[in-house]
Amino acid sequence: MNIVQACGVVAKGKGNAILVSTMLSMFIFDRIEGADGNASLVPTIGGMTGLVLGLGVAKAKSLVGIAPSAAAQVSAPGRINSVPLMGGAAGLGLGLALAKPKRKVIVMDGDASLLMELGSLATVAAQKPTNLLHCVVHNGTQFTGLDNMEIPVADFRFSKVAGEAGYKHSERISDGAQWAERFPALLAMEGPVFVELMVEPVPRQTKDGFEHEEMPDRQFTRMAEEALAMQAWLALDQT
Amino acid sequence: MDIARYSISATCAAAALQRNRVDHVVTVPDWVQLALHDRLNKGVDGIAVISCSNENQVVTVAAGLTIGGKRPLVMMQNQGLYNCFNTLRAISLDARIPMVFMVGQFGREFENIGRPAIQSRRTMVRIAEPFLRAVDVPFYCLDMEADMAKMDVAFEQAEAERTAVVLLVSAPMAWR
Repeated sequence: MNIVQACGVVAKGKGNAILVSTMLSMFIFDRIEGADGNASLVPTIGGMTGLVLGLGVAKAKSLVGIAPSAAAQVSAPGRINSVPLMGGAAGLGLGLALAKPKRKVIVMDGDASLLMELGSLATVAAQKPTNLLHCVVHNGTQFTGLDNMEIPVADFRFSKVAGEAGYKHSERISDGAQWAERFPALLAMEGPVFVELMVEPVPRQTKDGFEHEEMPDRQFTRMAEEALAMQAWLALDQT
Repeated sequence: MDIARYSISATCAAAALQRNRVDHVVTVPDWVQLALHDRLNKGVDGIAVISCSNENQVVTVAAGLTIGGKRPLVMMQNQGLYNCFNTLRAISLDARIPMVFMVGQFGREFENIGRPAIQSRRTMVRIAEPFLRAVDVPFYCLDMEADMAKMDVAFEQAEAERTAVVLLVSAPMAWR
């Protein structure tokens, strides 16, 4: 599957679940949810054609959409991004799941991020959060879509390790259509549930003569705004 | 060296946690605070203990709890604080999620207790206060039982300034 399929299925099907994301998924969620937070128009089709089409529709949607509010410039209130903090998503998701046991929590982790905090699988499993769906985007690369550097162990079996750590259910999914079909059942399942999504890397951009662009301030400040927005959103929660 | 003079009892520390309405202690255990860990593990009303695989997870789990409306406190030792500084930077300095840490001065030689920690011959002890000053994290030293009142100040400050506040536990806690 491609990354638009991996994230699109979550964006379209998460309902009022809390979403914790890492950097690559954050960029994709930003694009496919857009200013209105509605991912329904973005097609989730496999292969390179599907990737280009999905991102193209997301871009077109953002161009014709209404001017984003200040909140939408951060992300939808139900999403917080562990950025810039590699390895933090599982812990954040666990804390949220324990604080809000009647709400579903989805973690969209990255393979390099999870390798940094592999022990978080044991930490999560020990707490047995029944409302946690922990997904990892396994594309075997870091700086995906930029330089695509290989992660230390490209064929690491995250789903196997999660199962050994004590997750209630774990599986690996490679096909986008299967992911779309399985997602509602996996989200409804008693957790902690772990899903390893085998995702094709986005093609690299770097080559001789490539020039870096400065990272915007927003990338370093948005998590504070997201935390405040989510805190306010969850404070209204009666469940 | 009369350590007892500087030892905070587990009873007093647990009472401070309850007084501050702490509902979760998130931790990688600390030798200095073993008596409090033992007390918490035996059960203190209203306080759940979450043990993590490392200190980075302690900070992120506590952050998730805070965003979800809970009131956690994190416990670790000085080595763990150094280990998780990038996570503390992201969560409490950049994302401005309030957090109170109790950090044991693990490795402190007994003859240094009651004296300035910066005079310790053990690196992990000597650098704690200069490190926290350098990284703009407010801290207070818990040098004796009366200092447990500083936990109240730490929670107020962490929430008012949306930052991390560290309480450095100077001496091994008393098992009473």
